[in-house]
Amino acid sequence: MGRILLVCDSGATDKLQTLAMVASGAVTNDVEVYIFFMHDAVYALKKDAPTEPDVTSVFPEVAEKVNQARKEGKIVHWKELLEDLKELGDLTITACVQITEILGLEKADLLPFVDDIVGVSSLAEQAMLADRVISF
Amino acid sequence: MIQDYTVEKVMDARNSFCPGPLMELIKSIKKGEVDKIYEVWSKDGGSIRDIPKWVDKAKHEMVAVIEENGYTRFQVRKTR
Repeated sequence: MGRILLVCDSGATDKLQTLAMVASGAVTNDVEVYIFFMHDAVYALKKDAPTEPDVTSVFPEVAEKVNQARKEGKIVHWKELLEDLKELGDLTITACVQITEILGLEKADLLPFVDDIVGVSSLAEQAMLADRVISF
Repeated sequence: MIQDYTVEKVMDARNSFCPGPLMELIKSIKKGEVDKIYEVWSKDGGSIRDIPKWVDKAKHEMVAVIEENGYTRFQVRKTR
């Protein structure tokens, strides 16, 4: 039906959660999805990533209520969502080679749903192939 | 209401916000058998639009949408 590129360079939980939700909307509509994680977002993909930070917001009430909903298990965690989406549709997940090299990470150090570690030329290629590009 | 069919599996997703209920339904249908009926319960306001839309798009069959007290039951037959 189409193709979308999602680019995320933030390790903030709310950004990653939003990314996964957008990906779910795309996959469930038969849209091919390619995700490129950069910078802090790659760190969040580590198998041994430190404790995940709470969702932040400029509005204290938003942060409080979203974090409460997360604690109560009412929001599907972004990692679980991406893992499920891999089984349900055409989803490719990649991590930026530059930050993995800086951090000394290899593919085996990242969550199993990561398909590949690629460079920005792949990002540019995917951007040209995509019908839409969204960055987080 | 008397239903003359059997539901293969019920997923209670009332504790989950969007896209949780839809994801539960899709996962069960993907793993399930053709002609079987799968039911998901949802309190999420988006489900009333998103679930029928997905069922139609995926070419499955919406058998029933049942409004209960504070939640909705979606019964879907896997057709392919």
